[in-house]
Amino acid sequence: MDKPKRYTVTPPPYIRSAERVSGMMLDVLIALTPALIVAVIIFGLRVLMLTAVSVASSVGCEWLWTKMRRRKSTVGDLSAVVTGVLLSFMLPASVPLWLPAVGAAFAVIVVKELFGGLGKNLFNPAVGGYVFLLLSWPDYMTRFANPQLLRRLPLPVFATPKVGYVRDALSSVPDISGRFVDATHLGDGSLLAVMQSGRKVTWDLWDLLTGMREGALGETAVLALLAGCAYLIWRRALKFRVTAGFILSVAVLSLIFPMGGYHYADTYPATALFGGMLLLGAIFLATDPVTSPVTPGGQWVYGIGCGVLTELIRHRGAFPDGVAFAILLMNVLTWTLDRYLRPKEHPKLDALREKLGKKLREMWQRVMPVLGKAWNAVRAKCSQWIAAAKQKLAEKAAPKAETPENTTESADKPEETAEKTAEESKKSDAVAADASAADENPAEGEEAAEEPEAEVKTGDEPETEAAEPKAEPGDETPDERED
Amino acid sequence: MEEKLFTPRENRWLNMLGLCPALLGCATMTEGLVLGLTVLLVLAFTDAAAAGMSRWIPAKYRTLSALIPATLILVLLQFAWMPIPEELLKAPGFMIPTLTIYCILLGRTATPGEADVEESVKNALRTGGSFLLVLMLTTGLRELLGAGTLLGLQVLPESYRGAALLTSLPGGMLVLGFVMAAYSVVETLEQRRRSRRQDGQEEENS
Repeated sequence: MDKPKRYTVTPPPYIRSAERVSGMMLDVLIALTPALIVAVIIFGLRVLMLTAVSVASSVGCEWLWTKMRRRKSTVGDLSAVVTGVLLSFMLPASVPLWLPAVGAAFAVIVVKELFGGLGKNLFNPAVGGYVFLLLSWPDYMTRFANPQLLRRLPLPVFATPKVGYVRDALSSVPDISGRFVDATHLGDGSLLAVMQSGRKVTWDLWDLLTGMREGALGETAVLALLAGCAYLIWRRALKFRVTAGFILSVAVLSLIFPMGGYHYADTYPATALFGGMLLLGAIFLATDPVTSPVTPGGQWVYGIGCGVLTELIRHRGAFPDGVAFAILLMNVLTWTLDRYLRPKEHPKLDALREKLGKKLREMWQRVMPVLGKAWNAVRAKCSQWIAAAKQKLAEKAAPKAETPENTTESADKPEETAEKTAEESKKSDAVAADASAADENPAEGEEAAEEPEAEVKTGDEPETEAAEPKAEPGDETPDERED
Repeated sequence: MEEKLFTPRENRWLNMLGLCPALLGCATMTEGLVLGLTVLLVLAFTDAAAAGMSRWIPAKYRTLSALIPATLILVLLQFAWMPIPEELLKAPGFMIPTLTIYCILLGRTATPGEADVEESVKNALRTGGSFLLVLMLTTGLRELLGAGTLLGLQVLPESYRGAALLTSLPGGMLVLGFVMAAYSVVETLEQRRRSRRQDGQEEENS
């Protein structure tokens, strides 16, 4: 009888494949291009110049270093190019051109090569370079040009804009109509900085998504970054656990602890998610193959840790955004996480998980019909309410048709309020029904809550449609809080 | 083997003890100079006194007994420094007494009592001198790159924008790291040269 063999479980790599570092890096570069294009559109050609300087500096430093150490040149693996591009993505578009050069040199030589080169670096080079620049020249690094105003006074491509370009230069430059541009309209800090200061400013969600806000040149273009993320997922080049853990933990924490008080309750999760460097960090920086864990458990812990630290620094730190600091701090833990969160075989745990899954599935099957019934009840009730409201409207409208138009317009208001109260009561009904129906299924609750709105929209007169959008944001927030 | 003041093998540059608080206190070269000189003087006097007393003190308590002359000398030095302009003293300020005692007790003193007074003072001068040199190097680099000045005088052109990181504590650590790296490079080269020379001598001998 031979003894059962004992295997030691170690983190990868176990498999050799044709995939090369340069291939992975190329994927990242491709994923970064949409964001670069959007940045050029928003901030002008200076973006390309900054990126070019940054890449040239990082590649040049890598080449010089390998030359000095008389090693084989590692420029071909494209990692220096990625470092350069990522570093330039974290800079405001108005920084002088020598800044990315210095930052990239620091990133490549101090953060990467002094630790032993690619694969041995403890910190993400781009983030390290960025933090060095941020701490060294905070005045350059925390002033952001306002995209709207750049249309009128574009950034110079080669010359250095003055420090505080936006505030100093634009406030003394007459705009097209000859008036002086109001300095308060100019961004002096990022969106998060403004929120941290507690000032009441509102942002359009669409502007946040398309990147029309003050911010570093690569971080603002949310949709482009998400497109890059989708590409990376498709290419299986993304540590999605890190990304998901990071974004989800920030989302949850920002819902529980909104920054800047409840001024921003209406836009809150959106501003927290899209207002800072979060997406750039979660998709491209935290998932760096070298400085993030390789074990699944480690990746979850790392991602969530990044998110928690980010929120902590955003709330309590001296700088408005904590993404870079959080990533650097969690980078330190990478090796520890890999070591202690190795995947292990737990027969008992696996059995338990299976059992639990079975139970959940059974429960789901039992709950589904109840939910369906509840939903139907809600719909019936809603249609009743709508019918009643319509009747009321019709009754009120009928006598007014005879009176002149002015009076009908003034009399619209009470109707609207009546509509609103009706809707609110509907809403409370729906919420109550959801709560009673099932706690396990928040998605269902949302659907049930959204359904009556759709019905209201389809079967109503133009007057009520006008009242609809006002009620919508109010409708959605209580549901989210319920969840 | 003859002892030079700063021979790589004998000096204590890389004795990190006491350097961290020193870096915290000193961001400019002036401060580094003041602190370095203080440490040098206190070390020299303390070692001399401790070596002198060591005859009457059991070996067990010698390190501890060095505290008494050290404190005394510090107090005297502070009186002696009264006429020096206050700006010079302000920055490392209250740190000086604590710092120096610290350094001494943490091992920058020559083991008192084992050597005679002359040896002790030489040793102290060597240790204190290298401490002063390291301090001058790090603070000088920090001031030059961080603010463009040296000893408060503008060295680099006015348009130079210094890296604020270097004037803060983490920057001090960074610069210290670079100084240590440079030192180890120098040391390696020195050793290589020495071993080459030895080889040459052996060849000549054979």
